Amino acid sequence: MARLLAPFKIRNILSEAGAVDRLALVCILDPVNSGRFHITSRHIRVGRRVNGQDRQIVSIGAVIGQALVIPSGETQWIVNHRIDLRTFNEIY
Amino acid sequence: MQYGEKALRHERAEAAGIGEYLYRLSVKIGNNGFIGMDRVSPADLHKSDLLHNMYLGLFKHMMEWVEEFLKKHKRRKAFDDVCKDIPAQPGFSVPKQAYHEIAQGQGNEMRNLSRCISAVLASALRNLDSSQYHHFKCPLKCVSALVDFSRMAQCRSHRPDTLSYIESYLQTFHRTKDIFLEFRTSKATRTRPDRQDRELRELMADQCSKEVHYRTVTNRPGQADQKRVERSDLRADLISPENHFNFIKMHYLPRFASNVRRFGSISMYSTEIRELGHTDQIKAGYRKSNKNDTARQILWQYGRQHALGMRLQTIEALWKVKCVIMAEDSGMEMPAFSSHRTPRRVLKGRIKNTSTLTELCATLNIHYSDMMQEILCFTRQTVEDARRLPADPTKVGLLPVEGFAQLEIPVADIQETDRFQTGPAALEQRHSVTVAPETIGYASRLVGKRTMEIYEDGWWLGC
Repeated sequence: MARLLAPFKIRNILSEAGAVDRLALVCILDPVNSGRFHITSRHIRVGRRVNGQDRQIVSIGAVIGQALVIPSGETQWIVNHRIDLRTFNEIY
Repeated sequence: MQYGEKALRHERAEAAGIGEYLYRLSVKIGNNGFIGMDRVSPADLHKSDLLHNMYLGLFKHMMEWVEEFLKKHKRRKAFDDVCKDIPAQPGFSVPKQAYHEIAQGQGNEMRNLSRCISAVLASALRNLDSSQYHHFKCPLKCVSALVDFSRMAQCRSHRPDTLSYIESYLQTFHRTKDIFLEFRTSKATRTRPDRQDRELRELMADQCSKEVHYRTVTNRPGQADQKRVERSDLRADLISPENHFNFIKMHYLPRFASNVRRFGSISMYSTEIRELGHTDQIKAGYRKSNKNDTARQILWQYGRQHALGMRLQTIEALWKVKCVIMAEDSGMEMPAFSSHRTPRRVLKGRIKNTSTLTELCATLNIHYSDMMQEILCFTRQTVEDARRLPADPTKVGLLPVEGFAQLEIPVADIQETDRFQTGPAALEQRHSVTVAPETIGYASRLVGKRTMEIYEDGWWLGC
């Protein structure tokens, strides 16, 4: 799970192919409680990474979809998997 | 069939008449125009309806209970604050005002609320101490069970597993709903305790006026509080036996699973689709008409739109079976394509003045060295030599860059995997996205693994 900060294109004009990379700068969020469902509400929670590097560049092909997250305090979010039937089926 | 069974039981009960027997069961007998018709069973005419039974029915009731519950436990402000902080999502309208400020909740508002209520409530009931934890567990479970029930009822095709899930969510809802019983007070129920409360208050005021000489200034507020608590307890004792969940919308819920078994998926006969059709079929035609003889113009307009839509669908279906269509007049061949064409990810909303990495970093308010470090880290992970970015930071800094505000991702529709939702399903900048598990750390891989298990199973992962 990550927070999308900046999608961008970068053209490698120094290579022969002149390939264009479509990348995204993301802020990584770590699952709370090892990604297990909360006992009562049956939701997964994610929080800001405390240790290590929290930003990363990934190819946009790695982004598989959007998650609706509800803020729960300053540093945590609840992943709302009940937003639609598809997300409900995939996560729950 | 049902009437037959009732008549049989009536004979066994030896009641004076069927009317008396039904009266004993609290069944009202009225005139029904369908009774005399052949092949029509009036009992089967009513079908489960997501819009009126769930969203405008039980969810509306449940929101009233939740509001009262939050008010009692002083969490309503936290609930409203969380509602305001919900980020935008394609196909989901963020509530613009708090629920208690909405004058009349329409189907759309209630549908939206049902999509986020469990997470918002979980967030509003956070930071609990040990005494509150047990008390707040039940409302969360109850609300989640009802939301899960409505999600499963939306499935377009069902298996025995999905029907058993519907039934188990309903059982959980019934098992936990008693936490809201104290808020199920009707106006009629409230009248008698209110009158008694008023009389008691007057009586206490009289007593106070007589005892005023014996009271000191310091113990007056304490005594008033004590009496207020006594009155409140007395009122609660009078009201609580009258509260019940015996209302019509509650009795529709057990019929959902049986209706699916008998008539098919609920979305087929839910009035939601028909009511949504009012906009395209009637209102759009009325707006386009010259307001003279509108009925005829509405029919013509919708007829044309419908015929064109059918024509386009036919062409699409012909393309899907990989037919090569010859255009009638030109004799030109139209290219066929595979039915499993997957739309690409599209970057949208170009940000101006981001032609180099330095400019992009300045726009995003990120330190250049941090960005460079991340790019070099990404470069090291790239397997393909031809596509690999230069390892020299100076060279990377010279490469042309374009920054974007949105990323549009095709999302496969549930139970119709060859359809993709694009267009409005764009990921706006600074919204959360799910990244493929191999690109991030171990903890995230656990979530990814769970997703993989769902795919391997083909349909469903138990809780």
